[in-house]
Amino acid sequence: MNQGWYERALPEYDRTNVAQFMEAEYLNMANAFLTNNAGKVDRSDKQAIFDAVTSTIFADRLYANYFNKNTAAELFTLDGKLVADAAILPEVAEDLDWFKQATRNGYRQEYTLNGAGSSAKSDYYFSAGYLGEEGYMKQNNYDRLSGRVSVNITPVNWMRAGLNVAATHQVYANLGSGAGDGSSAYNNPFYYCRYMAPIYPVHQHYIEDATYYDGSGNPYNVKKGQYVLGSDGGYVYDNGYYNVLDANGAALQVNTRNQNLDRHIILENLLDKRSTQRNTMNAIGYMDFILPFGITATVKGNLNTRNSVEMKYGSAQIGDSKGRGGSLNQTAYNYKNWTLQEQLNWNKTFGIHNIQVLAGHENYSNEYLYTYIVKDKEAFAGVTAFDNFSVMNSIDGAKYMYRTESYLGRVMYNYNDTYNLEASIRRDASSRFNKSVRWGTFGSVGANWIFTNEAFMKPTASWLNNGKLRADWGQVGNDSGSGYYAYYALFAADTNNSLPAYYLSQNAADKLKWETSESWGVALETRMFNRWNLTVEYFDKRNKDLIFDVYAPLSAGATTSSYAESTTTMNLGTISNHGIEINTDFDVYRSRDWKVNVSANLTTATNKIITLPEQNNRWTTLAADPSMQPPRGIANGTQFIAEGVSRYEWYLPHWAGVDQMTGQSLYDADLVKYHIKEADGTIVGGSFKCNTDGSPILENGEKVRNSTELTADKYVKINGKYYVNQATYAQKRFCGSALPNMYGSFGANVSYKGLTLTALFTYSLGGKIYESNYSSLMSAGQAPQNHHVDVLNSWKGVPEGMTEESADRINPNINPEYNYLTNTDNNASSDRWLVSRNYFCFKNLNLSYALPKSWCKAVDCQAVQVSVATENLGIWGSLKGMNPMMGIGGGQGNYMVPARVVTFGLNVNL
Amino acid sequence: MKNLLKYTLCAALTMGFAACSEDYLETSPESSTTKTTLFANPTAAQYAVNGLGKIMATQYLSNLGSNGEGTMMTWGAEYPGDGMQRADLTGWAVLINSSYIQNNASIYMYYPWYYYYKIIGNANQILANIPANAPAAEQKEYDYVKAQALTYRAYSYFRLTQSYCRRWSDKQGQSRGVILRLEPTNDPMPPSTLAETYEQIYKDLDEALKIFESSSMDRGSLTWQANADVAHAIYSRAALTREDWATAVAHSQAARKGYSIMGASEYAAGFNTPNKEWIWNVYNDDTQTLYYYSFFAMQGANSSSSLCRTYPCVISKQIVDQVDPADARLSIFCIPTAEELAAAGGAAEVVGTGVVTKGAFFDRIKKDYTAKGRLYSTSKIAYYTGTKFLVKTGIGDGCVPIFRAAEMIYNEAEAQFKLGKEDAVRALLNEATKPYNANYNCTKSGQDLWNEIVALRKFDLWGEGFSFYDLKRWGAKMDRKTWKQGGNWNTAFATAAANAGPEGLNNWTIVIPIRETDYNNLVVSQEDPNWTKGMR
Repeated sequence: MNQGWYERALPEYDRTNVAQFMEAEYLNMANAFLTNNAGKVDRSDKQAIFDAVTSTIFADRLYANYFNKNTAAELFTLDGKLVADAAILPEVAEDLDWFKQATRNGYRQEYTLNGAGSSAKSDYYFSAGYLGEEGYMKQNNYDRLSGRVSVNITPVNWMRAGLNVAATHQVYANLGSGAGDGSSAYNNPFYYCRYMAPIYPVHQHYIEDATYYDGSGNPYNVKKGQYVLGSDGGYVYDNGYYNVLDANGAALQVNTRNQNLDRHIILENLLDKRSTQRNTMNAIGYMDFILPFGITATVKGNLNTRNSVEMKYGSAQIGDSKGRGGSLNQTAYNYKNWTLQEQLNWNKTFGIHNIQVLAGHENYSNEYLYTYIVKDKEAFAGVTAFDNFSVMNSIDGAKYMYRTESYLGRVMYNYNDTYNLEASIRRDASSRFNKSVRWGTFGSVGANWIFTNEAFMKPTASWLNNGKLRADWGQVGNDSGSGYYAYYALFAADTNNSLPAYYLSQNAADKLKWETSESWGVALETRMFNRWNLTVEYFDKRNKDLIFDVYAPLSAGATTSSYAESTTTMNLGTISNHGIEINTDFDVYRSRDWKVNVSANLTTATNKIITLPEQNNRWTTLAADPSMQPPRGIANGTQFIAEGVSRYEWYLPHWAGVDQMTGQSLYDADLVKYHIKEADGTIVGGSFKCNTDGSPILENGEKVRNSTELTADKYVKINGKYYVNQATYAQKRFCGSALPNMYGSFGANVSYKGLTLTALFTYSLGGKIYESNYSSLMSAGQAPQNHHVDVLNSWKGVPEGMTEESADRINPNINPEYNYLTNTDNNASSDRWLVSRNYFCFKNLNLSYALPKSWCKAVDCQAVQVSVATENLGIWGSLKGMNPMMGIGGGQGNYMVPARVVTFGLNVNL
Repeated sequence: MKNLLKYTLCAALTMGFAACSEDYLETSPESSTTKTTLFANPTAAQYAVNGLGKIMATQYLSNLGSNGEGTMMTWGAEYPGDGMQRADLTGWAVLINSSYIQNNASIYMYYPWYYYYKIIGNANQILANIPANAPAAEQKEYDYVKAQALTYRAYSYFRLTQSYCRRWSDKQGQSRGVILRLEPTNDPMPPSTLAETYEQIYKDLDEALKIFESSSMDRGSLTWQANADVAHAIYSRAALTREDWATAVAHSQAARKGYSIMGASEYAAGFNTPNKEWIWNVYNDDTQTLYYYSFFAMQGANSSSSLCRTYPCVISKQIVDQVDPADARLSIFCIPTAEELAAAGGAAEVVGTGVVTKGAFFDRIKKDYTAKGRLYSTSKIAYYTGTKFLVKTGIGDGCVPIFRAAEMIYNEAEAQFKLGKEDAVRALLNEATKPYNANYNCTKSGQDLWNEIVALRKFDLWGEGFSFYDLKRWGAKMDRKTWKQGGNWNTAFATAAANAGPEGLNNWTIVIPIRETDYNNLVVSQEDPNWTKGMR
């Protein structure tokens, strides 16, 4: 039995408070005004800026003014600071914390019961469990009931059989899409609350003193800041506006927020209902026949079924379904997968020799049915059955089938418990691949040597208790990177005007074959002084023929409606991941009652692309300046795949800093695709045409230019170097890998009698994360949103004494001007957003106590254990708010942050 | 006996080792379909052509407003133009003032490339996979499929040139064209010249017209499908943009044969259902709703979408001021009377675009427009709000016109003017205008006549996806005036940079998206100022 509580383990980013936010918005509006009036208004004309900003900041941009000043002109000083006594009205001020109102302390409870027994001809085992979770985002709940029964029988001495059945019933509530999935969706609380401007309250408040009229034309007065009350007299969640009637009875809409209009994460979470019911059943049955000569024949079948039905109710009041008068979606999946194995085992011992041989055949089949039904327009709010909805929206459905077939053989040999040899080979076929390339062959060999069993090791036996040397090499096939029907060109089914309509959804990949994961390693395992374990291993894992969606030019025609990309699934080169892994633990102190053990684990890893296919590795251009020669390979968004670098190597424009004369970001100019013609006619940079092997193409003995002229309006030359502000013309370059160089853990285990205390720390060193959350919080948007406090450290004018020739004209320590009109280029994707991935985490601290046997006996138990376990006590990274343990690809998103969990457990053994 | 049982079981087991039947691993999809199935007969091949129609009305890129063809009208033509203004949507000034034009990573700039090459890629699949020598009766049907695919391809290439290429007159077609893919290929490919692109557009249309003629098959009432009229209409628009006046005249006439001007009552009916004037349209209804992504959720005056409620679409006062007050079409616009405006303090007192919340004008619009369902109950009201587009059902369901007869008349008028045939121009303008204003009679000539073509075209085609492309074709400067200058533009949209004209804004030519150049090393985003064939 376990009981747990949890809360978020990571602090939130440093976002602006009310005053900082208002000053940032002032800056934003002031800079935009200067952009719109370039050449007409000067930055020094503070009054003109003040007039322009204060006349529009509420009317055009923020809408609601909940301050104790009725006009922006009273609220701000001429310098764009808030006046000293400015404050949000108290009724509003208490209502501004969205995270707080959207979250709660999570709670988790778990109960399990299990039992086992055996007799001469049979044994059995059973277990039953319940797990209940209330997430720390409100309305997120999870319940699971599970059970397992297993029976083995040996009715005759030549046959064994068994059956193991496990089943679960699970219900998830509101853990559907959007809730912490990383997206920028309105129904993702991490997105919604993070970016909500700090001046907007959760509930509706009147934005001004006014007189409105009720339905019968009777006037009523309202006060600014006062809560708007609903028909039930309670507070009303603010969807961005309230509707009132004027003296003529005409409806007026008063906007309270220029952000996330008609969306409200807390209200939507309350009204919308998302729940998934899932039932799973897993059954494994086997029969062993024990034949003469040490041969055993086995048939084993495994059947898995999983049915899940997600019901998603969208309220007519607010949210995605508002415009449809409410809606109900049902998404149902029916999965069935089974495996059938037939095996022959031969096990023979001749004196000190032991041989085991295995031959087998295996079929795997996975099929599922998908059904999606939507009806719109509810009759009654909150009723989540289809009968409550009157408009048929759509019914979609599909069926998928995936199968594999395998043959395998394995030989194991052991000599005197000292030498072990093993070799295996298997042939696998996948229905994902075309008939001619469907089968793959994969092998493995391994050997180990327990050298401490050798006679010549006797002299060291006193301190070297155990020593083993092992080496192995093996291959495994992988087809999961491809679609179920990967080799076909597919056309998706749709309808237009009730007629069938089909369009291309997948390019054919008829040569696609198995990806091979190949690994080899050597390791030394030792135990010394009877208290020190040490294992050192060198490994090299390679993915050969990596299955990968290779991009084609977009003009080849996109095959998806979700992304602007044209892809074909291909086998792409070889990637190696090699390094050293060290595991060690040491008994510091051991006595009858005491045991103190410390342990550590360290892995170094280097990821590198060894080869790329020839067509992805051709020379395409020859830079005039060889030091700028761009890599050969495949652009992959913010990363680039090339031989010699890691699979996740950042490839971004280099942000040089802020031009202190203009406040704009500067990036190194792309002087490969483009060249610059100086006034005297000399050409700087650029590139020449070349053959695929990198040799220049010559015409009349001259190299042929392959670059385009970058005209003078597009670049700026500062102290002899060329920079651009538009990211389109910026040079990209490698700027480090997303993967860590080293990671691991260390911990300690202290026990005294029945009391055990364990602690575990994890860490990671090296690698960079592209901090897209930080980048978004630093950007000035089309509508207001919360900012990172660093926006206040932005350019605000030409510093005293700065000239075009100043050596320090480019400043990398400030941020570009804060201005939504110039935001796209100033805050473009670049190496400015890369943040170190290093972290240190206090992962676990557990305390358990096993009650003395005598006490247990008194209550008729064999053993009783109580425990307290904590998880994620602290996480220290390089940027507050960032989750440094996130995603291998190195991105950040609006994900559910890790939880800090405290669990109390009680274990009773009868 | 015991052993017999044992060995029988063992043998049965060993049988299992034999391979399963051959087709155990032959799985085939049951939701999408394969090339073989789709092009097995002409009926199925027509499904692929229907797919081209469906591509024109689909939600794209998880980005509100990306609805296929409608997006090209709203983002591509109207936001950056000088006819329609989204009242006070200053947060979008970057798109509205075309400041993104040199941004090769912006969705607004790669959307046209993504969307039209999606059509081209599918059209090429059809052209490459339908047989050329089927039995005669079947071949006729295949040819009809082919003609439709060619029409879609020609349209798409033409639309691409409007965004990504310079004006024809800049270099008489010798400037950079687009990536001219005529087969399903995905290798890097150099850009064609603009002239070559037009040659291909003409060629595709000529062939399509020939087949439409010879096959004697037609689309019936399905105006969202392509037929000869559509091919003529594309020809008309393309030839006009290519400054090929005589061709434009001929196809403008051919395209509108059988279609006639809708008249005042249908003009006010919401532009959401095909009528006698529509030559081609995007199909959309409540069975395939695009919700908040749809065209009418962007431009529908009565849509409940927050965009439409909060930022109504407004017609430029400068356009309305040139229209005869007797014109019936003016009734769909919320135009303030001089008295109403004066009562609110006159033009000098108008803030931004001119959203009002009280006063005589407000009361009248509430009564005459909101109460009659032309505006949503809580839609904001701005001076000059247009109620041309009305949602048919839901948030934004409804068909969207691509070509209608009036455009063909204006296209012809423009071409006839360039050919010096002013009588013809006057007759055409009368033909287009009389159904709405019986007393209209054009007597203008010379530059005044040209100005009249422009004024009537801007007014009639308002909101339908022409403004930016028309200005570009004409080489005209954007003309956005603030209230103080006699217009009704928010100052954030009437900046010097926005009104600078093509030169200030990269010749109004969008750079080629990074999603092309990253994987096609034979082209770069920005065109060389002295670009010639063979360059990137």
